[in-house]
Amino acid sequence: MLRRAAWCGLLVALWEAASRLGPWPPWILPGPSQVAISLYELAREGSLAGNVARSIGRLGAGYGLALLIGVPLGLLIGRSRLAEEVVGTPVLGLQSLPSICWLPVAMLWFGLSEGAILFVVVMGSALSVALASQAGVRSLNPLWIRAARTLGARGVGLYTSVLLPASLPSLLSGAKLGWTFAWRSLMAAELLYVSGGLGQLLHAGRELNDVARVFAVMTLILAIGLATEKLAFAPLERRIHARFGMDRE
Amino acid sequence: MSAIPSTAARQSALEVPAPVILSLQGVGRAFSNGRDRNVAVEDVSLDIQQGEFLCVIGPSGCGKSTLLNLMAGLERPDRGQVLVRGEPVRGPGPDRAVMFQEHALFPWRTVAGNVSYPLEQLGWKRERIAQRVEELLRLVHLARFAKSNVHELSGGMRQRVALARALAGDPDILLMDEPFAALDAQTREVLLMELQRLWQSSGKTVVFVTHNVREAVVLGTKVALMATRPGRIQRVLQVDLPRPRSVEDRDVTLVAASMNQHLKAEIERVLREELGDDYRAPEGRLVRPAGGPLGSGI
Repeated sequence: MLRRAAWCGLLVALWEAASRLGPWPPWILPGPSQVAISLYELAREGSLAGNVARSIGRLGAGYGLALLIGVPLGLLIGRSRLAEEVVGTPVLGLQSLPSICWLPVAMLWFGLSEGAILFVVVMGSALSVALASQAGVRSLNPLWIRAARTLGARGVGLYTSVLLPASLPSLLSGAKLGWTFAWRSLMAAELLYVSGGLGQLLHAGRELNDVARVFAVMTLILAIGLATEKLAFAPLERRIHARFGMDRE
Repeated sequence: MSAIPSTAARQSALEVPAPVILSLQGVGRAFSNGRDRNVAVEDVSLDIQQGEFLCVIGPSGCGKSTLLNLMAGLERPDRGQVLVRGEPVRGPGPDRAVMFQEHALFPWRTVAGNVSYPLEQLGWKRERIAQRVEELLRLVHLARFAKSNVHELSGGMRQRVALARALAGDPDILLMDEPFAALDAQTREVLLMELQRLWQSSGKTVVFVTHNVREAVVLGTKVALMATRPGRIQRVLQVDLPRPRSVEDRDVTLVAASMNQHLKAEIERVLREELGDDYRAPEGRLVRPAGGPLGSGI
């Protein structure tokens, strides 16, 4: 951990040096010190907290919805052959569609509203969550299901007591994947469709021709992503892997 | 059967026969994948008495697992019927517990969580479950490991947990599909002893599928020999040796040897069918005619 921090510090120092000593003017490549100042200014203007909250709120709603749709959809197409035949290919196809392609449709359907952004985020991540869940259910040890049936599990109980917990590891990697897709879709949507949020801050930075400000917002976006990974997903993953005996390090 | 020490005949004449608990009547089951139709089990009729320990042995692929799955209700027969206490089997039920070759424990649950699973399905209250789980884990000597994760246990311990889980709902019938096949010889020996002890003290009916003749002789009150292609019961032999029996007992060895004769004859018959002229029985070896394509007929 300490060594990682040290290496990180070295990279930041190199960046600062490149900014000051490079052949380019500092406003083309501002160093970390300038970026930090920009970040501080942004915070003092008072626009930072509100926009961060706005983006995270959208992300939470969109991603939550994506999980609510994606996990059951994935379980269904993983278990039912009919469901797989009916929606399997469309899901696979739509999942490969870059989520930002949904923005024009979203704006036509939902107008200039929060609904449009939410729609893009959900479309961007629900299907990859579904595909990961499907793969998870498919790869289950069929013996577990047979055993559960002989031990008295029936119908819905079989889903909640075996299929769901048994696919936890794949559900988690699906959820992680879904999160990155949701986060990307959100930033793309906010960039193109000005309505507050971090994406709009980026956009505003460009209009002001202020690279340091753009970098500052990017750093913030990066930090949020890293924090989610390290503070939310990593501990969850550790717990699940320990229980399933998947740690082989 | 002359080779089987047979105080059996005398004994059973004196005792009142126990009621039949599990009965197969003209049961047949075939599987088809694409073009091939493979008859796994054909016209099997078998009565299993309450408290009996029936071992089913036969060469691999003889349909013994299918037979067990039919009893468990995991498979439906194409023909005939499976009756438990006279009632046709319509699916898996709490009166018939199954133990598989692989432990089939749930890795997302602890040892205690696995054993409590069937009790939760039965809708028991939490305190009652806790009490019963403790009792069961003590029975299989795993009380200390209640909170362990499955992957932390050895193969033998996992099968003990699986046994405790199978016994949890107090089933009348225990169906075991080669549960010790993947274990090392020493562990298996210990578990064979314990299974005898558990069976004797519980009075449960056990059907135990194995390809290991000695294992069958150690455990069974009766041993059913299966013939293959299609799978059917060739004969049922009674084993009347004193318990507890061990794999190393002289009598067990003798009885197993005579059973092996039957099995070998059956395996040779199958090989002759499969390999045709490539197989020469007298030497008991596989001989390939020179110049023939490698692996032809296999």
